[in-house]
Parts: sequence; C-alpha cells; structure tokens
Amino acid sequence: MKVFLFLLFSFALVLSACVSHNSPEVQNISPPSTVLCSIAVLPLVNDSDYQQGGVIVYRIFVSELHKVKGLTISQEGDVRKLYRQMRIGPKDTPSLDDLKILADRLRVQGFVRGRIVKMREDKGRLEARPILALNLRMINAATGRTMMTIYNSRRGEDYRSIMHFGVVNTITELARVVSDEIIRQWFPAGEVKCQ
Amino acid sequence: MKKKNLHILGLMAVLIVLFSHSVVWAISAAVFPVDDLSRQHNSVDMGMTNFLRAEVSGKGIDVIPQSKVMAFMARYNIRQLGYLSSPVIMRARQDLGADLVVLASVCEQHKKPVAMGLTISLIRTSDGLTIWSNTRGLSQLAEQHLLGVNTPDSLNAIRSILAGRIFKAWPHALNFTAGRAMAGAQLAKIQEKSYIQVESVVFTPKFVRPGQDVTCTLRFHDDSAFSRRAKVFIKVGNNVHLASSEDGRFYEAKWVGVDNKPGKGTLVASNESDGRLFKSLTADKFKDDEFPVTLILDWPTGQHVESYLGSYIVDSRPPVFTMKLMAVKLGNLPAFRDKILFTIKLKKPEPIKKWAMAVVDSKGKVIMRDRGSGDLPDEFVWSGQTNRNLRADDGIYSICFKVWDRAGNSSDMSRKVMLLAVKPRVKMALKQVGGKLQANLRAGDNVPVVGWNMELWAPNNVLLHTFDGQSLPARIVLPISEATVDKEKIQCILKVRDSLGGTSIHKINNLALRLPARSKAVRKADSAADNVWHIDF
Repeated sequence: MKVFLFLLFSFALVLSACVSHNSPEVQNISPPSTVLCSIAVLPLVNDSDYQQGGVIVYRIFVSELHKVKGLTISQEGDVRKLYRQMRIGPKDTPSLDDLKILADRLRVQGFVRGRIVKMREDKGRLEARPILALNLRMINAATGRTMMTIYNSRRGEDYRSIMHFGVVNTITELARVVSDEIIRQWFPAGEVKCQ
Repeated sequence: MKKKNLHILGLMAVLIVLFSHSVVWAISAAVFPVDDLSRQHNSVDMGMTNFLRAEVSGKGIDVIPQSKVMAFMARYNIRQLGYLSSPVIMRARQDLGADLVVLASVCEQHKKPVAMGLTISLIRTSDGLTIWSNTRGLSQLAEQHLLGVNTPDSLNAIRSILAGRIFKAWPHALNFTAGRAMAGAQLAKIQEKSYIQVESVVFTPKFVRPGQDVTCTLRFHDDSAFSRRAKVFIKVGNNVHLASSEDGRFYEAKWVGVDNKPGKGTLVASNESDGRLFKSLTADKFKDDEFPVTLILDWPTGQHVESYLGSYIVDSRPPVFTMKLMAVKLGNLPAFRDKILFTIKLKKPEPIKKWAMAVVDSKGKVIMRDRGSGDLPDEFVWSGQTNRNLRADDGIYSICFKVWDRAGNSSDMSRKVMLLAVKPRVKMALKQVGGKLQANLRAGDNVPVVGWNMELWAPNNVLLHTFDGQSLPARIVLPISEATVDKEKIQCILKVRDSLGGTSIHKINNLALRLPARSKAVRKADSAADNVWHIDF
C-alpha cells in the first residue's frame, strides 16, 4: 500500500511539472477572410533592454513566416532602404501616407508591425530562463487598418513537458516558438492560396 | 554494322544530354559574412561564415570564393550585415554568377551555460525571393545526457549540433527552385521593376493654396533604368506631367496644385519625341483635398511601371479662430489693471505655421509686438507694458492677432480692451448722526468694488473694531463718540479690492481729521501728511 501511495505521489509530482500551454491573445479587427498574399515586416520597436532584441526577433519572425506556403515576404534590406529613403526612424510609426508609399514600392498587400514588450534571459551557472512578450499587428495596406493584433507572452518554462524536457533554454528558440505560435494563429492552414 | 553505329550514336547523345544537364544545373551560392547579433551592432562572425561555407559546399553547391564576395560588398558599398536589398541580390547573380545568396545571423552566443542561436536564409538571385529559411537555438542544458556523457561543453560542439539540425531541413529540390530555369524575358521584367529606386521625393510646397505651383523633385538611386531611356512622368489625378532632368538622376516636374478656375480642362504636358499628348480627362473640381501623386516610368520597349510617390494637400480656407479675453467688462469693453489673459481657439483644428500679435493704441501706434511659429500657446498674456518694458498709459487699446496655416492662408482679428493702471479709489466722509459717528464710504471711480475692510486702532496698538462689506457705497455707524475721536488719536485702515483685481490700502492716522467740525484748510493740510496709499496688486 505504501509503495502504491509513493508511486501515486511521484506520478502527481511528474504531472504537476506539465504546464498547460495557453494560446496567445488574438484580436481580430476586420474579418479574417481578407487574404494577404504579400507582406512586409516593418522594423519592430524594442521596448526591452535586450541588446539588438528588435533585430533578433525580426529575423527570427521573418524566418518562421517564410514557412507559410504561398506568402511573399519583402526582403529586410528593401524595407530598411525605404525607411532610410523616407526618413522614417526605426522607432517611428509610419503615417498612413507612408504606409501607402511603402506598400506601393514594396508591392505588398499588408504589413506586420509591432513591439517587443519584454525580452530577457535570466541566466545562472546551470540554468537559463528566457522570457519574451510580443505585441504584433497585421495591417491591410489598402486601407491602412489593423486586421489583427496579437499579444504573446512566454517563458521557457511554459514548454516543460516532463522533468527538464521541453524547457526552452535559449532566447532564439523561444522567439522561434513564440513566432510560430503567432503565425499559426494568423495562418492556421500554414498557407495562403494566391494566384 | 549500321545498327551498331546507331547504338553508339544514341549512347553518345544520351551522354551529351546528361553532361550538358549537369553543367547547366550546377548551382552556385554566395555566402555573405554572418552578422553576429550577440555582440555589438554590425559585428561579423568570420568563424561561423567559414563554417557555413563548408556546410553549404557539403551540399554539393559551388560556393563563390570569399574574396569575390568581399569585393562585391565593397563595390556596392554594403556596410551592414545580415540583410541585402533586392537589387543587390540580383546584382549578385550578374556580378558573382550566384544562383543563391546565403544570409545568416548569430542570434545569441553564451559560454556559461554554452548556448547558441542561428538564423539562416537562402535567397534566389533571379527574383530576390527567399526560398528557404530556418532558425534554431541550442543550449547545453537541453543536451544533458545520462551521467553527462557526450554533453556538448564548448561553442564548437554546440555549433556542430546546431548546424546539423538547421541543415537537416535543407531544401533538396534546389535544381527547380533556384531560379535557373527562369525565362530571360521574365527575368528582365523582374529586374526592370526592381530598379525603380526612388531615393527621395520632395513636394514644394507640401501644402498649397489654389493657383499656387507645386514642384516635385525626384532623386533616383540607380540610373541604370534611365540608361535604357525610360521617360519619367508625374501623374496627379488625371493629369500627367513630363518630368525633366539634366543629369538623369534628379527629375523635376512643376504644375499648378489646383486650378482656381473650376470646370476647365487643362493641357498639362506634351511629349516632344513621340508626339503623345496628355490632357486632363475630366475637369478639375476646385475643392480642398489631398492629391495623390504617382510616378510613371515608360520605357521604349513598352514597359510601363507606376509607383505611388506621396501626396500634397490643397488648402484654400484660412484658419478661422476665436479670441476669448479673460477680463471683466466695464461698459462694453474688457478692462484690466495688471495683465490680461486671452486664448485663441481654432474653430476647425489644423496645424498652424506661425502667428503674430500686436497691441495698438488709440492713435494707431503699435506699442507691443510678439510672434511665434508652430502650434499656438494655450494662452497669451499682455501685462500692459510696451516692448520697451514701460507701463502703458490708461486708455483703450486694440489687441490684434493673426495666424497662418501651413498653406499660407491667413486670418486676423482684433479686440479692444481698456487698461486702467490706477489704484482703486475710495472716498470716506464722517458725520454726526444721533450722537454717534457715521462713516460713509463710496468708490472713487466707476470700477465696481467687490470687497472692503475697515479697521479702527487705538494709539496703544489695540484693535478696537473691524467692519467689512462686499460692495460700495456703504454706511457704517461707528461705536465711538466724537469726543473719543477727538481725545484719542484713532487710526483707521481701509482696504479695498475691485472687480479688476486691484487692491489698495488707505491709512488715516488720525480719524479726528475727518470730522466735519474741522475746517477744510486744516483737513487739507493734515490729510496730505496723514493719508497714505498703498497699491497692492
């Protein structure tokens, strides 16, 4: 009986380590039936203290976005060049007219823009606890209106499955997983059907 | 014999096809220096670059020598790592002969615990599209094995595992996706479009009045499109204007922002070389609006590209505003003693370019000026002084205000105000009524008194009585007899505050001097010495 109770207690402990994965907070503003076939990801504003956090998350997010079949994404170099030409600072919010010009030059139907709310990596000798919170929005280039917004806040610990397994130990991997979750919310089928 | 020859010929044909196929489909890639984001801005990780070169080469791809890539970067002034613009990517195809461009960034790199993050992308040079990308992060904490056996404990070990996982998803069908098979005409079309590099667009002015000229100055980054004699036009609504250039890089077009004669079609440009004539299709309607401006490029080959440049705003209406003076009215005029506050509110809020104010006296002479640019201050104050910091005389003045909007439309307004620089006056008279003294107080001018206070003091500094009120005239029966006043030297202090905020203190050192029994001559002589006025604004 004691052995059974011990095993039951151990099982309960193991189960308690399994953390449920909450879905990110999504808000659809316009009907999601609008299909965007080509988008540009605008520079992300880094509100955290993580050095070069904006560029890191930008590149990881774009890298994950390329996995959506049929979706055309503008090159980071093209976006940056236009920002420079139009004298838009990386932390500035482009005006509606700026978005129209960007959409026309980049030949895109939509934009992704947003900010890094939190980005941190608490490190010890034998542990690393990355934290990342992103707030992104998808904008329809034709109207300048926000189609969807999403807020996703995660810790590496959130992905623990059993014992130390599943825990995300690097900010890169956490950014990849967080980006992937956002992209799956926006493109549930993993593809866009464009001609 | 014939049959044998045919077999040999057939075999040779198959070998030639196979050989030529292998030559055509040999894919080459340019691996650009890796951007190390774990260090300072724009740091290069040459160790990772060489590692990636070896990995890509191991996939059977011809890797362009590093020296050529470096020379290419120098030629195109590429100073930032980790990204390239589409035209540069396409140049890599022409200059380096690369089918693919490999761009990578090290996202993080730690020694304790050992960890690394890498993102990599494969870009097709034929159209500048990314055909594959992958990101992975790896920490030794996630690679803990039983008893610590084979646990990676160095960056090199982590890098090998990381690269293995990233390249595991390497695309296999590169022969088809690398863009080698793209038809020449299709490629030229893509490249022609991608070369529209507008470096800057300036509308002068950005906000215009009807009938005013607008000049659009364009600066192109790359003049290669124009070496192919592309004609540059500026389209505004239905009007198309030919842009002229002297150096092939700066183009300029000038037109009337909006014609102030409505309902008339205008001939706006003509192209001398091919005789085409552009004319407004519909009559311009005169109204304030935002006018979108589009760039049109026409190549002799028939290629036609349009690109949105921006907009300018036509504003024909002057800013309408109200002036609110914060002052008490005396008669019909706002009056003040010390300073007057006023606010300017636009009826239809819009950005203001500049404003100016002036104070003009009754003779038409400007005694004070002020001006500013940008948004209007919340409130304005005139302290009754001239520009030379001298107190202006009592009188009626006009405060004139003028505002200009961004298009240069202006409107003005002036309001008259009354300046009363003197102190509030009060007159006091004493008389005997039924054996008691009665003080009669009345205002010395027509400014309403809103509060007064009277104190009677004994010679030994003892407060005898106090009286107060909120308006004048007032009658006060003093609880002292004429004999007492005559006998003791009673002091009276009278404080008055009027509706304009002015305050004065009237001090009578000997109340007996105000008694009616005293001769006028004595009162006059004494009051000059005894009465003291204090102005306290």
